[in-house]
Amino acid sequence: MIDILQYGFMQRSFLAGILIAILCSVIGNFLVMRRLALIGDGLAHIAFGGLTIGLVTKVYPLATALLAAIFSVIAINELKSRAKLYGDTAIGVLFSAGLSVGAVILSMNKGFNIDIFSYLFGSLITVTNEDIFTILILGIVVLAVIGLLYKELLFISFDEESAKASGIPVKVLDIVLLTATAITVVVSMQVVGILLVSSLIIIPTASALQFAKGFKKTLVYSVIISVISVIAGLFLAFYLDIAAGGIIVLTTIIFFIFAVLLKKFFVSLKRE
Amino acid sequence: MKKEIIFQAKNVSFSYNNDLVIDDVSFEIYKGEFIGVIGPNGSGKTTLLKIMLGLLKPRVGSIQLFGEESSEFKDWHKIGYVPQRLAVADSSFPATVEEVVSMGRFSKVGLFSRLSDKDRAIIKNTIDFFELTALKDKRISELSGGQQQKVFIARAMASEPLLLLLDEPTTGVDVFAEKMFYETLSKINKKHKVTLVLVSHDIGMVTSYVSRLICINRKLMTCPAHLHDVNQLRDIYGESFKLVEHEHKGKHAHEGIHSHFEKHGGKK
Repeated sequence: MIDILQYGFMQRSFLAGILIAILCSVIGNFLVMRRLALIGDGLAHIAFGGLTIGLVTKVYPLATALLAAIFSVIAINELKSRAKLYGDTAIGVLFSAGLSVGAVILSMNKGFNIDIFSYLFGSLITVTNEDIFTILILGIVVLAVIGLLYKELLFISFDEESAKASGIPVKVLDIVLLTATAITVVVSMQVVGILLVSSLIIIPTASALQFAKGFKKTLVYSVIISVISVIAGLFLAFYLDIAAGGIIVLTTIIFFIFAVLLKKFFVSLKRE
Repeated sequence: MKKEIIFQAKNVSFSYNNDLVIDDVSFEIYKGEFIGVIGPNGSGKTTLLKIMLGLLKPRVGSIQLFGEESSEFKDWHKIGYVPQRLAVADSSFPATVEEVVSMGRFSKVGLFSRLSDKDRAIIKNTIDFFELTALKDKRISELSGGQQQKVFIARAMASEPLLLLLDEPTTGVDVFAEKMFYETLSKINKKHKVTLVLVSHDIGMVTSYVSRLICINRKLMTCPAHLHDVNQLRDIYGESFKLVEHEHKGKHAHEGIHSHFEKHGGKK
């Protein structure tokens, strides 16, 4: 059929990419509605610190990145409740910690800079069989948990206070959502890149919001946009030999611009 | 027959940091009542409502819901809550009317479970009852203030509550919609036997519908028998208030009178 699917690394990239596309856009709907859109970016920078530790100590880097991100979810909650910091300030503190740890470790070990570029901006060739296994397992677990808690997550995103009053455990659900975000960010790192993960979380939802007539529909539209962007991006990355994350995110941005313009067009059509 | 107490506050006090907002308040609510909670801005009415909902814990005193201590109480779906509309609906959230009304069932259905056919039937009936059927696929942000308010009451009613608490529900709703709204509440109270607690500063309208008033200004006050008894209102609201009456054309004179309190900074 299509010759690029003959390559093992491309098969892995497509498999991982499609799952990541679904994960990021699903998580993105809840995060954007909960006004936590940038938390993905924060967690990605924290994961970067963990990743460099893994690369230096020769421990599986996805594992150290995941540990760092999940640890920071707990730390963000503690800082919020004990140190009475605002959520975004708490994220800011940890974000800086992760990035600075990464910078220090990198400057001490100049040997693996090429690896780092692929983690920062995404790459087709770094995804190993072991990674695919990790990505699939974690991704499916996250999607299952989100699916099971869909109605509660929808309620707390729409009206936290009423959800709380009706007995829904808002705090626990928040930790679940952030942990799911941490996992999503880490499994997306290799294909999309640390610096671009949050774009795949935010932009498909932002585009779908232009048209959707309900929460569920927004969710479905954003998944479709995200999956198409990732597939198109991976093709372009392969044939043009460019960073996968960069071209995937550019594709989502084209979708977004198109959605905004199309909405404007429809609105003006209605007025006439 | 003795009336059943479904809510009881005993010597409840609450403070934000060192600012005492509720001071030694005790009262009970009987099944089937329609209670209006009135008081000036900053009198602690919203705080009291949040304590009743379990969103805030009293610093001193105890709360009993349906005969259980608040800390032991698990059946929060028995209590419906209609928040201040503007705090919720003024966003670009894409949820449809049907999605919002469905939320009312979520707590009753429980974690990890899906809505059953019975739940869907209840949601449909609730949407029909509030005459929202034609709007059910519209986004909540596309509706008028009065329509949004109906959606939030429908959401609260979807959990089939025994007690319904409403926080300033008529803010930003036009007068006509407001009257319809109170008629609907009366119906819920009388036909569906739901006990209602309505926090409001719209005293004139409230008094023509409620069965009992609770007046609060940090402490619980004795409520006047006739609301237009200015002297007693002055005790509740302090010296610096003014009663403004707006005449509207209503079927009955008393229904058409709207009274609002305006607080003034200066002493008279």
